Amino acid sequence: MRTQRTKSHPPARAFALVASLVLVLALTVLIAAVQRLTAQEFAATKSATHEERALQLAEAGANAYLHQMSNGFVADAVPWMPPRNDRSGSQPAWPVDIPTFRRLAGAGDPAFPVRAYPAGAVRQGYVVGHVQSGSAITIVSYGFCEGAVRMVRSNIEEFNAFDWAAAYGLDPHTQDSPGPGDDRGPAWNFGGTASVVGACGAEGEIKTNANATIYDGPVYLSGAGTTLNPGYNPTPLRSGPGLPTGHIGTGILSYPFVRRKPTPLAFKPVDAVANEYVKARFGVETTQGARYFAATANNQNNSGIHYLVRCIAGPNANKIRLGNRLTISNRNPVFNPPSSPDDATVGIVDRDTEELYGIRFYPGNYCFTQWRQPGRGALRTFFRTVADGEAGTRPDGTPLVVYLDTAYSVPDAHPVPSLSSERNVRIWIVDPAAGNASASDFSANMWIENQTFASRFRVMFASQGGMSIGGYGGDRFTANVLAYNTFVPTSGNFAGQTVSTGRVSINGAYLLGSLIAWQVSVGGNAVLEKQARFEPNPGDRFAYVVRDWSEVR
Amino acid sequence: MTRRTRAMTLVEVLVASLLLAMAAGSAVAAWGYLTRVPMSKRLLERALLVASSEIDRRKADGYEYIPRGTSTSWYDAYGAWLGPAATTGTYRAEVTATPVVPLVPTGTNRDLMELRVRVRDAGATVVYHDARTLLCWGGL
Repeated sequence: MRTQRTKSHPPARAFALVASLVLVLALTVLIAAVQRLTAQEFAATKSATHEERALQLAEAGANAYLHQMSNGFVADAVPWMPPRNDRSGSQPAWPVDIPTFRRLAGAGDPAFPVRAYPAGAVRQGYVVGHVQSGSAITIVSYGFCEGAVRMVRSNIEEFNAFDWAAAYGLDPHTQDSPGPGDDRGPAWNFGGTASVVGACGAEGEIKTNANATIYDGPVYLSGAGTTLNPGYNPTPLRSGPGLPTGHIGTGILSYPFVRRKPTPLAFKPVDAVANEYVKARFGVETTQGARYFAATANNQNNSGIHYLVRCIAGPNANKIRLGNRLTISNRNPVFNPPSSPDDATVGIVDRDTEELYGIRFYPGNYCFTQWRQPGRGALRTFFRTVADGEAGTRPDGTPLVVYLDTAYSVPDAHPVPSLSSERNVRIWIVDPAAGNASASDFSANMWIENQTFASRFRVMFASQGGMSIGGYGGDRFTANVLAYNTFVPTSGNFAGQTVSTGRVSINGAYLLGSLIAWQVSVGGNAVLEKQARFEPNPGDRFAYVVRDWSEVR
Repeated sequence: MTRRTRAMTLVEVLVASLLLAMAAGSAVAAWGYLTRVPMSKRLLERALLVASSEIDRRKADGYEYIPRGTSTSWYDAYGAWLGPAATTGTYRAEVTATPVVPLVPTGTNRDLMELRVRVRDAGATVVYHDARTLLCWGGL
């Protein structure tokens, strides 16, 4: 009996203990497991945060690099600024995959300059570089954060100042708030029955009447323009064939039609544009601005302008040949061709069979202190905005016939052989070396031989004299015009102040391209149409912009 | 035999009590952790969502439309933006847009802009997340 009790009771007590211990152990394991799962979940969330942060850093690095490409790399401006890192043709070829990036960047490979961002950050930042093939540029940016790495690749392209708008006024000053030089605006005076097709706007005051119309839009009111035109809300109209008169095709109506941008664009004055153009095109550092082209060695004033002679009888009737070279004075050069030059000047051999037909500018840079081409009596002037062997075109792509229905028969070869492949004609208008600036007139009988790309004919107006553009017969003035410059008077009431200049008045003309000026005045039945087609990389880059981007895994 | 059995029971009880005490202590500590971590996780996720949303929203507005200086946006408990007129909410996103110094600030679209988003509680007493990025005109 005792034996039975002794044998039966202790196992029962031991079972309770074991059971409770097992239960405690099981609960402990369960709690530990839940705790571990929770910790893992939390770690996963933090990892996702690092992944997201790495992507933000990759984008930040790409934007910083893009900014430096547009505005010039400034070494060590801030510790986190990515340095210029051209990896075109490097081995291994960029972009490398992320494992390779980890290996090489971790080993301190100089092809992967690591920048911590923000300043002082540990284990987070970016590595950026670019590869270029022809005009195609790709920025590659690796962002990293606490072991997470992500890569973005963005293709960028040049954005030209003239890609911005059909007409754009910059002057922010008003009657009530005049600027240096007693500048009282407005940025844009829009009168008569004038029309603008496409993007347009102002960074200052707009004055307009009820008959002026804007087609397609949008209208950008930037900087001071956002507050100086509180009630400006033009009726949205869509362009169509013949609407406005002379328009080809059908436009797309912008929405919203009026856009107010607090941040103004940073258009550069002509002198700054000239300095950048000279450096990019000729590899020359200069601070002369547009006056760089006043030197005879830097322009084609006396090599690229020729008379055109038409045969009026005989086997070559209706053919056009090249006459003599036009002579431009080197001192304060003015383009003001005589309306009736003598035969010897033009190069007419036989007055009975030939007559003066006009003047032709070949591609290159020309510099004048004044342009005089007013009224219907002005000589026809052609701008050969094509390379040797190429034909001119109208805006719809059909061939431009220079005279009647005669096939193009002017000799193709550029008078300056080294410029045979050049397509751009740039006219630089500067102040005279001494004396007052005179107004320029681009009003009549001007023919741009390739009307498909306005970018090939540029008028860079740096003079304090005004500029007027007129037109007769509805032919297009296909051009990009920038009329904005600054100067500092050395005497007078505004001595020492930076005064802006660039007044353009357009009446009766159909300008296809872009007009950017300090002050724009549009009147009569003038039409300004934003050119829809762009030519890649025409020069005078305003900035680089991202065309597309993607993340690469 | 009987004496030995009682002695073992006492030790067992003591050990069991100790183990139970340790287990109970661990359970209490784990309870605190297990209740705190999901909240932290939720705040971390929501704050990340709010910060990312705010950066993307400003980018979508366009570089020229981003006001310089500091502005505040409000988000609800699920991380949804409450609109431009909201003056309160669960999460407060303080956005500071400044041109990068010492690069020369121009006040135009040529500036490189740093966008900093600090996600706080409604009373602005705690910073849940602090994100920064760089923006430029024509960029990503």
